[in-house]
Parts: sequence; C-alpha cells; structure tokens
Amino acid sequence: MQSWAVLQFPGSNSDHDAFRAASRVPNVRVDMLWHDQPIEKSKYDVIMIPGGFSFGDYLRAGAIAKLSPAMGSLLEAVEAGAHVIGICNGFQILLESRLLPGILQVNKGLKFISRMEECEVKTEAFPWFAKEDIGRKFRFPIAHRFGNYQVKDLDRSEMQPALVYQNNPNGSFQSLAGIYRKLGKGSLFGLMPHPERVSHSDQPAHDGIDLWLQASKRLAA
Amino acid sequence: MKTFKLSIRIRFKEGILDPEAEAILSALNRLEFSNIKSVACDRVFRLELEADDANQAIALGRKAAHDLLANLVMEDFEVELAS
Repeated sequence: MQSWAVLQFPGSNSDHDAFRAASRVPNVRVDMLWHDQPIEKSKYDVIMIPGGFSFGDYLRAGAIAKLSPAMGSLLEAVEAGAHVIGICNGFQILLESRLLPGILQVNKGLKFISRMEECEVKTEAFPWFAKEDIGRKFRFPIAHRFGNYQVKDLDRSEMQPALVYQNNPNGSFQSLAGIYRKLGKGSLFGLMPHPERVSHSDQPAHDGIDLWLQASKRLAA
Repeated sequence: MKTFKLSIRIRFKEGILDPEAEAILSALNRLEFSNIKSVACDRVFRLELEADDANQAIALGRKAAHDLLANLVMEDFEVELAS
C-alpha cells in the first residue's frame, strides 16, 4: 500500500480534486494534511500541493504558505524519498520556498486564462514520466493569472524541463509548463496545468488518470 | 524602546518584465500623455515598529523585506525611516 498526501492551506481549492484523483489509484491511501503540522518524515511516497489561492494569494502567490510548518518540513521529507507534485498554486509555493528556481509572473496578456492546453513531455521525471513518455502529449486544463514562468537559466544537471506547452498561453520561458528536480531520494515536480481536474473517466477529458496510475506503478516497481 | 515608522519600497529588478506597467504605459500613451516613456509600479509597505534606535529599526525592516516582503529573485527593496 502506498501513502500519498494532499497538503491543505486556507484558500486551497483543488485539494479535493487532488484527493479524489489519488483515491482512485489502486493500492494508494491518501491523507489530507493541514498546513499547521510538520509532515512526518519517511511516511509519504507522494505529496501533492494543490492549486487554489493559499492565504488569499496575499503579498505574492505562495509567499505566506511557504512559512507554514508543513512547508518547513517538506525538504526533509523529499530527501527521505517523497515525490512532491506542486500544481498551480502548489508550484507557486515551491518557487517561493526556493525549492525550485524561477518565478511566476502575471500572464503575458494580463488575463486570467482558463482553458485546455496540450502539453508535451520533454524529459524523464520519475515517477511521473518515463523515457518512453518523451514526446507524449497530454491535454490538461490551465486556470491561472500568474503562470508566466521565468527563469534565468535552468541548470540541466539539477532541473529538468519536464513539460512544455504546445501553444505557449502565458509567455513562459521556453514554453515551460512544468519543471522537475531530483533531490535526495525524492523529487519535486512543479507545474501550472491541472491533471487532477481531468482524472475521472466520466469527464470528456481524463488525461490525468494515466499520470497517477503510471506514477503509482513506477513507485511500486 | 522607541517607536519608528519605516517605509519599505519594493520594485522589480532591472530587466524583469512587468506587463502591468506596460499596459498602464500604453493606456497613458493613448490619452494625451504620449511623452511618457516608461512606467514602473512599485509597492510600498509602511511599518510601525519598536526598536532601541534608528539603526536597529532599519535593520529589522531590511530583514522583514529580505525574509518575506520582497521576492529577491525578481525584486529589490529600499528601507527608509519615515519622517
């Protein structure tokens, strides 16, 4: 049995989508973790930091959430083997925490964008993408105003440009939709698209299902 | 301990794209302000704090800006004692 967790902050709004998506993966037990407690080291295989508006996005998106006890203990959990996926606001929190490099600025067109985007896998990113996934295209929804990812230089020895948009919707550097970092025994994957919102077979789009299933299989192997 | 008032100004670093400022500039240029050539949107925090002296107050302000108020990847800050 694998243990997955979803972090919750005041203002998270994709936490239940993430919980339901992970709950449907066979042999996965999912805990909801409130931000005010440190995360138990070595307990979780996957930690999901969901989308939303943690702490109202006050100051900057993710700036206040980074100070929570849960985030303060995240690095240790990752080094011990947890694989973190930070989605949308979760990605913003990882950037504010400096666990991933770069910043998310307001979208190039200044507007909030909510639509489906085709994203292509560019690199291997255990457990999310294997070598044979490179070139694979997923259709994921995006819903953000601050999704314009900018970074001076992505140090390829540490960071992988794991996922790119086919049609850069927000002005991101090199069309990046998600970046991946291997760290200790675990990893960090930050992305703006929302796979957890397309993770039910009764939805017209459900590309997220396979992402969770394959990750779980690779972790079990 | 005395009470001090600080003003902390946060601004984007040189070279960081600020689409909001660009949009404001083009709106100004559409009015009668075609001679305005650039716009920057800074953010100012006004703090009241207790410290032994002005130097300590400024040091505390700088630490607050460094640790939370500014994102040093994209922003610079200036701390000033308000009169």
